[in-house]
Amino acid sequence: QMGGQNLRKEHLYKVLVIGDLGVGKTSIIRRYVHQTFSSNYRATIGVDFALKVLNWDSETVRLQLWDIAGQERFGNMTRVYYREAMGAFIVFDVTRPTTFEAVIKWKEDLDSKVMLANGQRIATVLLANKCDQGRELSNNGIKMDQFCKDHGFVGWFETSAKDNLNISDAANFLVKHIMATENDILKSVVPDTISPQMDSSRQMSCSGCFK
Amino acid sequence: MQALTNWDSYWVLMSLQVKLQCQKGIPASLRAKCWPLLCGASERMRQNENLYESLDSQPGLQSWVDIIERDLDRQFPFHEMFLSKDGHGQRGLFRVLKAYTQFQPEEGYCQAQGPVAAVLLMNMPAEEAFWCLVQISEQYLPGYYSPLLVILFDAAILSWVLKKTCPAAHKHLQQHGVEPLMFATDWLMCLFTRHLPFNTLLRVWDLFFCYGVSIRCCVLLQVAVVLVRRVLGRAEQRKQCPGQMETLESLRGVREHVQEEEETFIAEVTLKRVSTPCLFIPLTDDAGERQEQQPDASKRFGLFRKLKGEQPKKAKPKKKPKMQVPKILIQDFSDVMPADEPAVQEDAEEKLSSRERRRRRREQERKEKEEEKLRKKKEKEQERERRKPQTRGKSFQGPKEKVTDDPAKTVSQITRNSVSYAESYF
Repeated sequence: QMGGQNLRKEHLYKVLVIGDLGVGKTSIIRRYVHQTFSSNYRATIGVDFALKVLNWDSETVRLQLWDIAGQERFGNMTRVYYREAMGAFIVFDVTRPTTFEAVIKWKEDLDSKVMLANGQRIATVLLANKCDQGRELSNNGIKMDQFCKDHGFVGWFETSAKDNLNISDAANFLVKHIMATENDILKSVVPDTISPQMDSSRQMSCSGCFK
Repeated sequence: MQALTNWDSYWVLMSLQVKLQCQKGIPASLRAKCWPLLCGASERMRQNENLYESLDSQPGLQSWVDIIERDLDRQFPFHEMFLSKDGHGQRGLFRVLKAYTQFQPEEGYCQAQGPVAAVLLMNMPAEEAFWCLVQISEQYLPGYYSPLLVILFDAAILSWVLKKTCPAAHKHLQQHGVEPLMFATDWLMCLFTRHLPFNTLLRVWDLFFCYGVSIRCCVLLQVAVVLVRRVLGRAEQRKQCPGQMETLESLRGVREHVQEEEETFIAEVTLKRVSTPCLFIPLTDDAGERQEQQPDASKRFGLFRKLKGEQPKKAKPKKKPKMQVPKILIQDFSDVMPADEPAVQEDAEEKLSSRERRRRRREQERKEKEEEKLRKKKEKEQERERRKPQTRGKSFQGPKEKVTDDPAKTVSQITRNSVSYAESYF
């Protein structure tokens, strides 16, 4: 990259936000990006987007958040939306057990449709949303840790978009993991053989690495 | 109003005028009557007297009720009709959507139907709105709201149309990895309810109800093309969208590019001719003749005034129609056959009285419903099979059916083809 010392290194990460309908995906994103909350965000049809820029030490991280429709019948189009994602949040609603049961289904859908350049699964964080509404998971914490281990989540957070609980913590946690996997991928590429004939459709969305 | 009950004869005699009027905009006071008439909802309501009432009186399936209730206060939350939880807007919306899940239990409720039903309810009573929703879901956009999601196919078509009609914008989208499914899913499935200023939306729906069924998504695609052109048509606009996110953000904010200027917008929509592989219908000589037989312009636009009971004004100087009406929209599609149809059938069909035709159509619809059920069963099996990769793309090639000029039939065939198309596309 051209430029002097004051040009910050930039990372661009595509992060998916998935989960059953009405669990609060849009609310989480709005809270995280726009610092607002409303109880009547309209239902997401297809996909929606938001961009969050983070100052990460001396670098800049641009998070592309893809807010994906939760209704099951939109599942046919998720392949297009998942493409080139680097990380994901799977969200459920602590007040509705069925949304937690669906978490495994979402994880399987994700892992079957997207993977990193090195063939590994993308970093995924589980969000137990609406924790402001009474049901506490904390005594189930050990169980949740085990659940994450069993199903390949890098971690889990209790969140509340309404009360702004844990959302940016969860995002920072995910970014850390994405950066770590990105470094793994870079290391696995032998120096001086960055192949010019890389298939453009498989190209990663990380502008910092391939610019 | 009596004129409206004689709509059948008006429909035959003046279908051309109706279409032109729909292009000019249906007066607000008449939409409640005209939309159900245009889409066949009135007819279905007559055929199924009391059905809505009985559906309405029964409780719905709890799983659907939960989802619908979740969506009630988030359709147009700032519209006065939908402000309060127990207001007639939200109640009506619940009843219409719930009734639909009972009417089509296999299909259930798709979240994209919420805003569509809400806009219908802003314009008409619940029972009419229900049947309009049924007609839209079954006849106009078959497979859109069912788990089949024919939208995948239409998104691919949109890409193709964009390539033909605005190559620069299409190239920009491709370069930045922006696919129609990423921005047009909401546009098309919600019939632009969430992306157009309200008056423009009503005008688009006038066109949609008038033309939508015979050429399926043509009106919707035309609108989508105009919107993309508005956002990415100029080189400097594209320059301001240097990446995927910026392009998508721009497209999401499309409303800014459509100010309160319905006339110019509708003119633009009707002027951009779209021909697509499945939608293309050749212009016959017959259509050309019909066009020449049009009454002069001063009579042409008076139909709705007559319907309202107004006397035609006499000494009004002739005005040129503001916009040039493209041939494709003047054409009476309901009488034009698909390209691959045997010509012999045309004559036979043309001699039928409209009543007979309607009767046949009803019969056809009944048959189709049965076929549809069979097909759904089959598809479920195939769905299971599809997981095995070697059967991909082979599905949905059922036995070839007799082709008739019933538009509903054509539509169902398109649906069928589209599924396998969408399959191979993804």
